[in-house]
Amino acid sequence: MVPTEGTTSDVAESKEGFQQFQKTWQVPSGLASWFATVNNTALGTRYMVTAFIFFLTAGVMALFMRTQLIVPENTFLDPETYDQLFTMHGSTMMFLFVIPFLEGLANFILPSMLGARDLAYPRVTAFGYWIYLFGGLVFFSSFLVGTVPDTGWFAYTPLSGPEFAGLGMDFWLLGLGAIEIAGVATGIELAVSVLKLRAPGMSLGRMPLFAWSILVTAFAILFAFTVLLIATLLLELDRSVGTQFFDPAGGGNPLLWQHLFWIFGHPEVYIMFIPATGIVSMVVPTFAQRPISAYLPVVVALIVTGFVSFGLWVHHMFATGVPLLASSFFNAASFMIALATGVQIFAWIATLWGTRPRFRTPLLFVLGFIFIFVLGGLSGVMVASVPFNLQVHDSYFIVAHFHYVLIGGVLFPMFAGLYYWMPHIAGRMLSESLGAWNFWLTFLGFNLTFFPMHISGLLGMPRRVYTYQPNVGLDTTNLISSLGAYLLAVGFLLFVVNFLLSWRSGKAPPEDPWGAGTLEWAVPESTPNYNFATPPIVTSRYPRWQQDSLADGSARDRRTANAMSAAPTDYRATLVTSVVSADPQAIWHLSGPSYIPIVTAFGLTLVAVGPVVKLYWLMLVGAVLAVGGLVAWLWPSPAERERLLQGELSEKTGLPLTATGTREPGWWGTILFLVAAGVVHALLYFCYFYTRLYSPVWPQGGIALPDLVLPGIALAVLIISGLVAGWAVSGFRRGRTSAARAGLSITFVLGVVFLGLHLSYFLGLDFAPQANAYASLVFVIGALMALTALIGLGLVLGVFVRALFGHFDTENFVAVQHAVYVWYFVVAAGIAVFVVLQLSPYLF
Amino acid sequence: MSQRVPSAPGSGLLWFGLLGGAAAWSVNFVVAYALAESTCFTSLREWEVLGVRGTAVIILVVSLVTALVALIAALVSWGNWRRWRGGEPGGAAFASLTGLILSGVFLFIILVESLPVLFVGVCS
Repeated sequence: MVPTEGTTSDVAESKEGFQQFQKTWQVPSGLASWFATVNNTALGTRYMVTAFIFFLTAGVMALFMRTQLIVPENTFLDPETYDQLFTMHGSTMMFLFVIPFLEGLANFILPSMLGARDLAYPRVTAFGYWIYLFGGLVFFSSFLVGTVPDTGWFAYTPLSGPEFAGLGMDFWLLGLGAIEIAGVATGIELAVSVLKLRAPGMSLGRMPLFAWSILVTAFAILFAFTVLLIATLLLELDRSVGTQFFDPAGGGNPLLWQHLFWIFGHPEVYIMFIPATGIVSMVVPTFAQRPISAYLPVVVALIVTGFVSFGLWVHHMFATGVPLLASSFFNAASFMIALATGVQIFAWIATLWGTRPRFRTPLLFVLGFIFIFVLGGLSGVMVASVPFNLQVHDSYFIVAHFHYVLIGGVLFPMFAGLYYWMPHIAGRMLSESLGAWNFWLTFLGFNLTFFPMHISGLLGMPRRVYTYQPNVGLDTTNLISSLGAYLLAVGFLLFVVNFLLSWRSGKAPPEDPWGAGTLEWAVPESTPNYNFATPPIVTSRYPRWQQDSLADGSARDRRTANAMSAAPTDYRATLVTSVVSADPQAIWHLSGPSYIPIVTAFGLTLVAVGPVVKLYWLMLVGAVLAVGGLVAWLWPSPAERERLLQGELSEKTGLPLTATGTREPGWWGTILFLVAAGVVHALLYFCYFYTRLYSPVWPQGGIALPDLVLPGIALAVLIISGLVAGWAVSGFRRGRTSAARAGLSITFVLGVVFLGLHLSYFLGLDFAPQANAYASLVFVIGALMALTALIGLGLVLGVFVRALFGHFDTENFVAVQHAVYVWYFVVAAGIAVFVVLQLSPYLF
Repeated sequence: MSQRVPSAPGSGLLWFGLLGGAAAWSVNFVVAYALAESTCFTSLREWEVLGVRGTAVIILVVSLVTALVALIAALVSWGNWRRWRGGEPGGAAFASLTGLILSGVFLFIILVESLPVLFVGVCS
């Protein structure tokens, strides 16, 4: 028997109660539905639609390029336009399409797959979407100012620097920065949701593989996207302020940009690939009608891929003169990661082996993925080898390789996922016959387009050339590639046609369209916003195949699920469970509709764009909106505080409304935010030491060794403030609220003193940030430290004021704990900055 | 109101077993790459130990130490798995078994990635 969501008789004892529950969860109407909704399904859909529009735009750009290359010495496009097209095609696909689409899909499907009512931080979901949208618009506004970037999607310096690239580059950089913020915010939310919001009983070993893939991806995003955020900031500073990070004439190093970009860029392709493999791991078992083979090895492969992807980046730089031993490490790592991927492929084949698979469209795309991705992987291990790489670097062989792994490895699974989950997304089945045509035309078109590029590359055709000479062996391959591209475009268009026709007049899906085994199919296709009124209880990996009921489990789990059935009725909440075993631990209050995310996102965008367009008042307006938005975000309303004091649901479930430590999703969010902040700091220290390594003299330009006295005093004040902050927290814990409040105020005052001393040191330096690379690094690290301290001070002040209003007591001071964690980070950063900037020049 | 909910016994060991191998690989990679990148441009270039370039010796030593950490993580995971394998499936036992295999894989990767030191000169 295939269990579905609990029946109405399980759900609420009174019809009124259930109606109130539904009303609490309903999507707002009117203007609020557009700008204030925080539901994961609405926002996930928006992410996917927006990303798909960017995909089609970038696809049109590709068609223009292939038209230019269809015959030798063609004059359809001039070289400048061609350069702009390959830059924006690559940038749009890599930054505006793939990851936002996959994050949108995860936002949409993950809560129902995990048995949760929503993601962990609904306002962050909304914020992530808006800042992605605004960032994408900023990105494309370079078309409006007439200077579209033409530096390639990885924007190597000095070509992307102030000397050679126009204003469009600034929009590119700032738009990218906003998009990366969206990525990091969403990554943190997805990680916490997977770790803490799973249904009771859904232990780590019973978690769907798509959830595992999102968990690995989310952590990878934390470490990779922050790198690009810093890289784009440094390049923008070089361009707008005149710093010297990447200019060799100023003591900088253009290779530093390449390192920063590829430390982000290589993990990024795995951040795309890993969720795609998660999709495949959901589709294959369904169409084989059996559980996946080798679940544990697949989990191991995902984790290995996530880690090792950070050890490959220099394989993009083999031709730059990196020492051979260093290149060899990356060569070896690049071979190793292929083994992890191979494990997954064999697991999928083993799952299908011996069964009679149903060759419906999702499975067709999966089989296409396996074929194409394996070919891309074969060319991948070829280019992973240093000697071969040096021959084909920057040739069309590379273009062929990455399109095979990205289109085959990511786009085909995405289409598989769209066909598979469309009953949930749009409440419609897509046409199978159009789907088959979609697949075959896409598959044939893709191979016709990109396979000949291997040959073009081996024959010596460089990438990013707008034309080529006739009769050198490239005519036929380019002709086939261009004709293939048109066929590929028809294939993609067929998907759009299929979607539009199905949306307009397609069949409503049956109750169980695919006979799948996982939880998201236990939710009706109309997908109520809360997914599950009664939390399901999970006792197997495929609950719909292996369980008679979603209501059977341990006495504790049954009690919890029954008590949470259509409850609470006057606010949104979901269950929190433990990381390993998914034992219920707490009830987590979720925010409802709010305009705060869009206001905050808009404010941040104005802050970024203002200086570029030289409208500095825009920055001020943006800062007011952003800071105001954040304050409103963090300050709980009286209704929210009142709910935390209600004991009824807590008594019925036996679970607290205000948990602490690792039992509380807010703790995880704070810690992961600090991890991302730590990456930002560590990366700047890396830039400092890398630049120093290649500088004959340090400090550069005759600058004296740094002072130790004033910074040392500042550091001492900072460390004392950290000790006081810890004392303040213990005061709340021991019920000594007055002393604790005093502790917070002293922490704040000492923090202000530190910031004052810190700023006076930097303002008193006798060199400018533009003097040379050393000066630039000193000022940017100092500025980051100041910003970090400012954020910490804001949070400490916030909780101090809340304490004055009596918001905290012995059992409820979680916000104070989190603010003090941030302050501890500020202290740690202060120590690190002192060691790097003040001490290290004396030590070596 | 807050209540204390007990966590799994020895969860620190569980997490070390699960991620210790990966952490060891990370340290090995960072140290090896930093040394390989920087040696040729610093005074480390001249340093030798028993006729072998000093940097290569450090990389090998770090590789051995991190491989040992990965091995210990594998052994801890094995012990965890033996302790918890009779319990709720999918929980601590699954995490322990995952850690055992993960640590073994990272041990292998550490050893493979160390091989270039034996064949490629530090400042080639």
